[in-house]
Amino acid sequence: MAFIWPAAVPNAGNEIPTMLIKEKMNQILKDMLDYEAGIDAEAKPPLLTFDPGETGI
Amino acid sequence: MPMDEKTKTLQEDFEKNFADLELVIGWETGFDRLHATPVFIRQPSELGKLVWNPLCSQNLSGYLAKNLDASIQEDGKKIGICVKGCDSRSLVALIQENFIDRDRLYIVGIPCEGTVDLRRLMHLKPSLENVRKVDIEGDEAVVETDQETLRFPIENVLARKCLRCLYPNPVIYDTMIGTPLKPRISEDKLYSAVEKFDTSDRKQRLAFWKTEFNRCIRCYACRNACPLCVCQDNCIAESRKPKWLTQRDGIREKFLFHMIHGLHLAGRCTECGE
Repeated sequence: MAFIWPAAVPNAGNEIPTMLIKEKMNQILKDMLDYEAGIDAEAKPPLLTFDPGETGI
Repeated sequence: MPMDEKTKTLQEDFEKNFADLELVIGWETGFDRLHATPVFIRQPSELGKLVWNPLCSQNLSGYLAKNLDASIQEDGKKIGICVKGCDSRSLVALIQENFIDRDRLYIVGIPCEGTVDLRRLMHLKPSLENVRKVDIEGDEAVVETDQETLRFPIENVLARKCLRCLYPNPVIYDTMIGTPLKPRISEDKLYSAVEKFDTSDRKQRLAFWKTEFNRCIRCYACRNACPLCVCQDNCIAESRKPKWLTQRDGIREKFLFHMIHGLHLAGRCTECGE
């Protein structure tokens, strides 16, 4: 059954709607942790657990 | 402030501060006036190339973490960069994660009324040519050509990211060009697409994603364009060690790649639309 992407913008090409996945992630983050990415440079992102010194990054 | 005036103010501001800068990253007119492309300026004589208009859609902050070693300071000089509201959020995220040193940057923020999606514009007016200028005036996009002036309602030509933008103003900047703007939507509408999608049942959603991801050719353009996808050559999608994904192009691998991409951006994605 065909399903139309609800977020699709008419005539904006034929992109795979990967943004919808990121929007869902952000919605969960907002609901659970009341956090929005990229707003306050001093804030510590709640999911920032990796080591920036990790080889190869 | 009119668009031409913003461009002029932008150029003048960088001219004034160029002695402290080793590089300016901004936008210039592309192969015609309907296209804007990134420009990297190292000589003050080239500052006249800089432009600001609704075609300046590319998020330039992606160049800082990936293409330039912005965290090493040389001669005390800074990198000047132009950002819209959405771009500035990417900068903040990169600063938070120590990929960029804030002190190394001279940020010129531009409140943005929205960027035009060329595909949408060209669909409405396939014969569009000899464009002189594209601007946003209130709720209309105005396109001036040698022959005529065309007006389009913004909901018909703006990029999707701009139609759901909550942050038209830069959240971090050293200089702001123009005055702050009001967002086009209210906060409760931000995730309306996700909410609508969630109303469908699981089987429908799975079928939807299978169909969509089946079109993916794993070209990694989505990863390369993303300012926050910083692993590059060590991306888990291509890495042999650890080997999480094969190079097969079946739906399973494509699905997993996009889920990994999404999860790696959880809590980091600023929804810049790149």
